[in-house]
This record gives sequence, structure tokens and C-alpha cells, in this order.
Amino acid sequence: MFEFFLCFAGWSGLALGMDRHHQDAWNREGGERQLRTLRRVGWALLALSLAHAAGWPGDSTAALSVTWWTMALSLAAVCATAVATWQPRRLPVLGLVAAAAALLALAL
Amino acid sequence: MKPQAAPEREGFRQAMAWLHTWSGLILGWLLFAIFFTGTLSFFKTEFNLWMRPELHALPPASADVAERAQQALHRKSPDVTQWFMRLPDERQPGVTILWRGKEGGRFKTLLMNPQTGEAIETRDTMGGEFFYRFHFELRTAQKGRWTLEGRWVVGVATMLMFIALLTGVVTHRRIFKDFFTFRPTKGGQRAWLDAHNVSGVLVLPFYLMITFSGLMIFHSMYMPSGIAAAYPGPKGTDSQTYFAEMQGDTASGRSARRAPGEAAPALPLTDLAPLLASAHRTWGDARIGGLSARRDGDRAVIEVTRHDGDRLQYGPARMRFDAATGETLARMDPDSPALRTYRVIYGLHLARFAGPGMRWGLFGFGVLGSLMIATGMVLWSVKRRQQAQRKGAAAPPLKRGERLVASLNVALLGGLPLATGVFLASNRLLPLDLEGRADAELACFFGAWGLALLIGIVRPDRWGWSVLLGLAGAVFAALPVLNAFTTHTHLGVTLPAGEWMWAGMDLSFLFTGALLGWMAWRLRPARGLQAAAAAHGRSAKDTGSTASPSTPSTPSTPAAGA
Repeated sequence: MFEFFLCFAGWSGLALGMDRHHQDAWNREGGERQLRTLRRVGWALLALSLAHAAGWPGDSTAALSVTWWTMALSLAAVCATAVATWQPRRLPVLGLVAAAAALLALAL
Repeated sequence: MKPQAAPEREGFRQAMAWLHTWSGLILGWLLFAIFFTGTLSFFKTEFNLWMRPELHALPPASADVAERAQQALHRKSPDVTQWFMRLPDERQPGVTILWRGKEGGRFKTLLMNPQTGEAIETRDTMGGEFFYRFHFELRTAQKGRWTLEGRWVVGVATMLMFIALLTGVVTHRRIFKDFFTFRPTKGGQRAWLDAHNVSGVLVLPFYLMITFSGLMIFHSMYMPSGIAAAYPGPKGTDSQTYFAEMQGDTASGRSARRAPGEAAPALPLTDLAPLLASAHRTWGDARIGGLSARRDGDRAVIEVTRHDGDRLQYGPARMRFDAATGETLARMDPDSPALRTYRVIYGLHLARFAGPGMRWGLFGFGVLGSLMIATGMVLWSVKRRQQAQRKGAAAPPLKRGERLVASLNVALLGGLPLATGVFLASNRLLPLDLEGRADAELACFFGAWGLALLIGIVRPDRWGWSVLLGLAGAVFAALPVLNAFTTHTHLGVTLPAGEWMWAGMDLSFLFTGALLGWMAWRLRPARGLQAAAAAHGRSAKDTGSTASPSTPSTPSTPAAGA
């Protein structure tokens, strides 16, 4: 679940860093710097999720854990696309909630 | 897509687009069937159970289940010369034994109660094995012929799928720019292209993995020359040694070494407990997946196989024992990098390691993959239709090729869910003592598909789509009801008992029925007029749109609207 939330947050960041989805979410154009920051955060979260899967596999092997990560990556992409399509205004909030949930779980 | 890039690059891209379109179109229907049945195969064990309701409510296995099963097998058939036993696990409550006696021939299957060892008589059905077999060898009968040819056809299709995936990344150059973009309300070609791109790109790692691993599984069939060069034998290729080494074994350990026609002596009843204990010592707390016994020369040997549910690699570790003395003869767990790579690729394809959550995830990806193929096929029609319409104001009659593609889309894409539903229904409806019952179920499957072909040829339009999907939805929704009338494994029993393995199937059928019904409702011919009108109104405002609205009579465009 942890990887899924991180990936979802990451994809949300990437989506919001794109002109079209930024506009859909906030109804205004994002500045170039703002978009770039969002994209960077998105990539960082995706990288963090992979690092977590590979480095802390929990009670399974790293190979299984990375396999699960690949699935979570795609699943999260499907979910992020669904939100961007049907609930674009909720995308920033949901992305933040997912990131917060994942980071909270990491801290605990 | 307007040309913007340098002429050279555009040439490359156009070549790729051509390859993508035609490799996709020509084998697309076959690929859809392969992908669809392969997706169902992720739940092969569950289908096997659901289609054999006699296996319901078996007691949990006791610790000595293997010994009880062996005793029961010897009681039933004292002259058994070879057997394979699969022990019960969380997905499969019964003991499955494949065995054959002195007369040799095909293996017979025996299902056993894990506590009493008594045989369970089940209805004659191929169960989920049908989807699995059809998926990789296009099997059409229970003991099908032409399966080797089927594997070749599937192999060629898989290769083309791989090509279509790679060229697709080049062709749809905007997929990464439009990564999250899905505009179902735009209608027409735009929405279809979005649906094709989104379903294609989001799950791309899965498609690449499943296609490549599917190709690799039968590498020895498609690419025999490497084996022939490395394993020369007196009579051509010594594939015996090659396959033995793939298993971490020696050729002599694998072969039965018996002259044809010579009857093998029956196997002795072996005390399995010390062998299992030894295997447990070697593998720690890993579970035992199964056992097998056979004659190797004068000696009877027993092999113990580790359960393969806890690691990626397919082809789990095995230990071989002398049945008479209990002495360990061999431990097989090949560990060379090449073998491990191959087995992990194989294991990824079969996903035996996946728990319920992961299995559902993979199933969902499979469904998306089927949709990607289907939307690609429909896109071909939509695109040509709209090009034709752009030239003339009135909708010209369909060209023969376009009509053929539209017909086959309706028949083969829309017909497959119907055929699957009919296959499952026939499992409950056909008389239990029918001669050749398993093949009769398959006849129902292919019969329903044939009916869909007729509908598709007569009405390759919204009407055809809507009727086929509506029929399929009705059949799927009726499955739990049929189940309630014909068995004791219906929702009224399984839900209160919390038997999710059984209830999950019925619930999934209900859901599938509702989904197909909804799709049929969206595609109903009358709605086409409204949708087209709505799209027309939208595109008048939407000046930037390149997609032209679909017209009421647009054939083969099922969901052009919102």
C-alpha cells in the first residue's frame, strides 16, 4: 500500500506539472518555475517509492517487492489518470493526502 | 497528427506507424482472444473450483495428507506405475493426483478429499484449464490435436504483439506528453485514440513483460538452433540433456529408460514421512507443493517439490529420494544466472507468486490490455470512416474491407465475452451424465462465438455491439442464479459462511454482467443519434478540435459519445 500511495502522489505531481492538467486543477496557468517544481517533486516521490521497495522489502524478498512496486506504479498511474479525467480539481488534494499518508507511515 | 519533424524522422515514424497498424490489425483479433483468455487464466484455479462444485466444503488438510492420498491411490489402483500429487493449498482445497498404471497411456486424474482420501467424483469439465490451454495453444477440444501448431500460431502473434508495442511507442509519439490525458467526452476518433493511448501507456511495463516472457517460455520451440549447437547428440539434438539441465538435473535422472512396450512393475507403498521431514530440514519453513513417484530403472524414486507460491522463480526446488531406502539421491535447485533469469521470466508470466491483491491487479492489467487491443481495432475503423466523411458531406457506403473489419470487430471482440458466459452457463446446464461432457461445454463456447460471427456479419454497427454485449451481460448476470438453482455453492450459502473463494466468483460474474449491461445500454442504437447531436454541438464551440463528430449512421463506432 505504501508504494502505491507514494506512486500516486508522484504521478499527481507529474500531472500537475503539465500545462493542461495544471489548468484543469486550478483553473489558471502555472508559471514555468512552478510547473518544473511540481514535476521534480513528482519524480522524486517516484524515485523514493522505488528506493523504498528495493531497500526495505519488509517480510518478502527484494525481487518480489520490486515486482509489487512495478504493479503499484501502473495502478497508481491508472488512478491518477482517472482522477485527472473525472475529478481534476481533487487531484492536488488527493496527491497531498497520499504523500502525507505515505510519509507518515514511513515515519512511524 | 501533422508532420512537424524533419523529413527523415517522419519517414521512420511513418514506417513504424504502418508496421504498428498492420501488425496490430492482422492478428489483432487473435491477440485479443489470447490476451483475454490469458487474463482469465490468472484465476485458473478458481475457475477450476467453480466449475466443479462437488469440491465445495472439503475439510482442511491434515499433516499426513500426502500419505493418506498415497494409500488411497494404491487401494484404488494397486498397479500404479507413476503418479504426480499436488497437495492442497489456500487456493485449492482438494488433492489432485495424476497417475497411470501398467498399461501406460494418458495420465488419469483423481481428485481426493484431503482428510479421508476418498475420491471425489466431479462433473466432466475442462474448467479453467480451457482458458489456459486456449491462451497458449488455441486448444479447441479437451484432448485437442494441432496443439503444437497452435503454439506456433500463438508464438507468431506474440511476436507481432511485441512489435506492435515497440512501434506503438514510436507511432503514438504524444503518449508521454498526453500521459494522463483521457477525453471521453470529445467523441469520435479523439476519444478512441485517447483510450488506446492511455490503456497502452499506463500499463506498458506489464505488457512488455507479459509479451516478452510469453515468447521466452517456448524458446526451445521457436529457436532450436542454439540448443542444437550446444547439445549435439548422436541423433541430432540431445534435447533430453538440455531440458534435464534446465531442471538442474542429469539426463539419466529424468528419463525412465524403458524399452517401449515393456510393462513397468508397480510402485511400492512408500513411507513418505521421513522424506518430507528431510525436505523440510533442507528448505526451512517453505511449504511442500507436491510429490511424484516413478520407476527409474530397477529403482522406485520419489521426488518432493517445494511450493512455488513464495518466490518469483518458476520451476521450484526439488529433492529426489530412493523410495525403498529413503536415501537422498539428488537436490535440484539450479542456480546459474542464466537459468535463474529464465525461470524468473517464466515465473513472472505465470504469476504463481501473486497473492489475491496482486492477482486482481494483474487481472485488471490484463483487462486493460484487452481493451487496448480492442480500442486499437475499433480505431482503425473509426479513423477510416472519418477520413471518408471529411471528403464528402454525406456518409458514403462502407468499403468492402472496412465492412469486413467492422464485422470482425463486432463478432470477435464482442462475441468473446458472450462465449465465455455461455461456456460457464453450460457447465451448470448440461446434464451431468452426458457423454463427452467436457467437449460439449467447449462446443457451447465455440457455438456462441459462431453466433456472434453471424450477428457481426449481418449487423456490423451499434445494433450488433449492443445486442451482443447485452446478451453477454444477461448471461453473466444469470450465472449466480443458475448456480443457486443447480448447486449448493450459491451466494446464499457461501456468503454467510464467508467462503470468499466461492462467493467471489459469483460476485464477479454479477459485476461483469452489470458492466456489460451498462456498455450495451450506452451503445444502444437510439443513443447514437443523441451522442452525435451532442458531439456536434460541442465541436461547434470547440474550435481547436481536430476530431470531427460522428454521424448517426457511423458503423462500428460503439461509444462515440460521452
